[in-house]
Order: sequence, then structure tokens, then C-alpha cells
Amino acid sequence: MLEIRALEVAYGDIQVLWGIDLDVREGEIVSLVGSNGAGKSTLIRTISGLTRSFKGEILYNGQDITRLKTSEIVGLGISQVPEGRKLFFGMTVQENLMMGAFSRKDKEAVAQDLRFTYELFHRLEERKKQLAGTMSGGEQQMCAIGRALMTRPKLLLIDELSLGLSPLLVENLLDAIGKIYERWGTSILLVEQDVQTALEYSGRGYVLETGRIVLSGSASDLLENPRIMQSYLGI
Amino acid sequence: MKHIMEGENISKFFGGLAAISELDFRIKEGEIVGLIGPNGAGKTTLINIVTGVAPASKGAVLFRGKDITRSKPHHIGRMGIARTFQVVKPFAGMTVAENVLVAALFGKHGMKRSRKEAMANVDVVLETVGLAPKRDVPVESTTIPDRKRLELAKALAMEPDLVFLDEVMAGLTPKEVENVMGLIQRLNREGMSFLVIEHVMKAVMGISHRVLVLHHGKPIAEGTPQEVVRDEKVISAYLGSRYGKKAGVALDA
Repeated sequence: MLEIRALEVAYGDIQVLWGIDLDVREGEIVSLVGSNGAGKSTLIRTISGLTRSFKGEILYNGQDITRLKTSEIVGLGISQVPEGRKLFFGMTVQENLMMGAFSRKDKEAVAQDLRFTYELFHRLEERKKQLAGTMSGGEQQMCAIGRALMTRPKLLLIDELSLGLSPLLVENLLDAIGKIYERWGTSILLVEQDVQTALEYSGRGYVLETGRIVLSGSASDLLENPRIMQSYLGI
Repeated sequence: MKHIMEGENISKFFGGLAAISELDFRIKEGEIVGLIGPNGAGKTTLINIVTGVAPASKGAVLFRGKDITRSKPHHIGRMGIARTFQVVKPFAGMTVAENVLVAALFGKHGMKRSRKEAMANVDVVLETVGLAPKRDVPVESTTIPDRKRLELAKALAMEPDLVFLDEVMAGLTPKEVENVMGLIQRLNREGMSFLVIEHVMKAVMGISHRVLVLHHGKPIAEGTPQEVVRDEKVISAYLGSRYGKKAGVALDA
């Protein structure tokens, strides 16, 4: 479904991704792990068209999306839950959610998806008229997931789901994502700092180290591989 | 072995947030100390404290036994302490060489020398860090990797005894990282002491005699690189607590 080939990305003169090859197949949950500054968010942002590559290509269902606009990429069914949530703070919860459906014309399905979002996150329904910026970190993360869900994604990119959240809350969020997966078969690329949680949740994983993929394979094999620790800690 | 720097019970508050709390640390003469920790651990804050850029809220910093806790950055520079900035800070409107000259004039030997003598030293430093070909280029037209090198050049031109390096290897190619590692080790053999913050873990683990690990402003481990990477608290800080616990059990077995 998603095929990334020999992707290279730089910020000005500083190259941060080198020759990245990565696949996400239909209906698959894949995690991407690696230490600070490895380039995980850059890769997610490049898939979404928020950052541009200077080499390599990104194919989505065989179509080259490397140079498409972010709005077009979202239109094709790739949606992102960004690191730090990036909610529209001056808008209410429901307005934030509806921004996810901004370009959708299928009004009935949108209403249905909004109901689904509120079923997943009762807290959001209780707070639908509240300004998004006034909620707790966990509630904001629910809202960010909900907003992505409102695009009715076929591929969901999730960047640092657990950042600053309690383990119990993370478990609840993962349960909710599991329900999205069950309902729509949405493929998921999960960037996560908690290696154990990420790999237990995924079928396959990739380990990124200073801009290069140094390991990949089935999640259970990766969990047993001491090379992961080396990639984080250097030796 | 004598200590070149000692930090005693250092805390730094930003409003109600303790960026560093009750930290003790030591750097021995001739030592390379690695300072690691996840984002937001307080690493750069520590450099800002010991160089007078943002003094400690509590505690004391001693340089060769002398209290420098409240000393101004330019005095600290004169004493033989230099630093680099993670977000590069070139002096605009000057060439590369002029940038380094400013550092040379504000360093340990500073005003005691003529401008000409200082300039001779600048050329040596530019050669050392590989910036000699860019000597007379306006700093605005240099690349980011060059500006990283310029940070290092400015620190070295101060002829310091103790250098704090804040992520000088970020964004460099593996080959360039190797060069900088070699340079640090060479200067260290000639007597310079270092504290190195670095996200390129292979580099910091490769050159440090001792590693101090900060997490949320507190020290969680200290030891040789081999010791700290086997520490459950360190593994948890980097890979998550569940992974750390599992790894800790495996390491004990």
C-alpha cells in the first residue's frame, strides 16, 4: 500500500534521512522506533507532504505521491496524528474534529464518523463545546486521533502517541486505535518512543538510527534483538 | 586526580519548573565526560549554568577550586572555559576568520596578545577544524555543517582548558563525525578536558571516559560507557520503562 524507496531528506544543508526503504501493506500495523533525532518525525512529515524529499519516491497504491500537496495526500486517504497533537487551540473540540472532514462531501458518512469518534472517546462528546486548548494532554491526544479519524483514513500515521501521557491512558488510546483498525482495516504506521509497547502492538517494525534504517523485521524478532538497544545507546 | 570542575547541589528553576534539581557532578583534569539523556533532560541547561549564561538558582560551581557560580560569561571565558552552542551563533557581518578572531581575543590569553598574534592562532584553528578554505567567506554564506565547525573553531580559539560541546556532531556525515571524534581525542591527549553533549550515541560512547546520564533534570546513572548502557534506569529512559525492565532482568541473568 505504502512503498518508500531510497528516500533522502535534508533541512537546508543538513541531511537527516538517507536511503530510506519502508513498506506498509494493506491492513498492517507497522512501528517505527529509534532514538531522539533519528529522523522518525521527518519521515512521517515527508509521507504527509509537509517536508519535501530531494531524492527517492513515495508510492501509495502504486501512485507516486512524492510531490503531491498535503491536502491531496489526505484526500487519497493518508492521515496524520502529529507529534504534540497540533490542535486548533482557538476552536472547540467538535470544530477540531470537523476540520478533519473539511474537504469531505459525503455528509452522511461524516455524521456517522463523528458518532463513531464520540463512541470511541466519550470524553470528547462531553467536552465537544470546550476549547481544545483547555483540555488535558490525554484529552487533546484523543481529539487529535479523532480529527485524523474524521478524514476516514486508509493509512493512519501516528507520531509519538504516548508523549507525556500515563501508561494507563496510552493503553486506552491504543484500544481506541484498535477499534478503528477493526472497523475499517486501516493500516497504521506508528512512531513511538516506548519500544515495548510499540512492538507488542505491531506486526512488523523498523529501527531508525541517525537517518538510516538499521534493522527491520517482525516485531517479535525485533523485541528479542539486542541490536535495538545498541541503536539507542551507541554500544 | 584533581578536579577541573565541580558542581555542588545545583538546581535551576524556570518559573515553577525544575530543569535541574540537586545535581552534583565532577570533571577531572584531562577527562572527557559524556553528558547524555533524553530530550528535556537538562543537558544544555547545565552548560548554560557553568558558563554563566543562565546561572544556577541554587548550588555552587567551582573551577579549579574557585567559585564561579555568579561569574559573568566573559570572565569565565578568560579563565579558560569555552563552549559551543547547539543552535549555532555566528557573528553576522563578519568573515569566518573574523568570527574566530573575536573568540581568540576573548579567550584565555585574550588581550595580552596583538591582533596579529591572535590572527596567527586563528589560522591554526581554522586548519584544525577544516575551515581554512572558507577563511575569508562572509559567515552568512556558509553552510550549516560549516557553521557547526565554526562553533568548534570559536571554542578552540579561546585556548581553553575545559570545553563544553553541545551537539557539535548533529547533521554531520558519518565521516565528518569520525573526524570530529578524532580531533577531540587529540586535543584531549594534549591536555584539554571536555564535557560532551551528543545525540550521536556512537560518538559520545566512543570518546567518553565517563558518562553522566540525566533524566528530568536528575542524574540517573554514572560510569563508563559500558556500565551506563547496561543500567536498567538508562535503558528505561531511552527505550521506555517496560523495555527497560525486561532488559534489566535479562542483564541480571
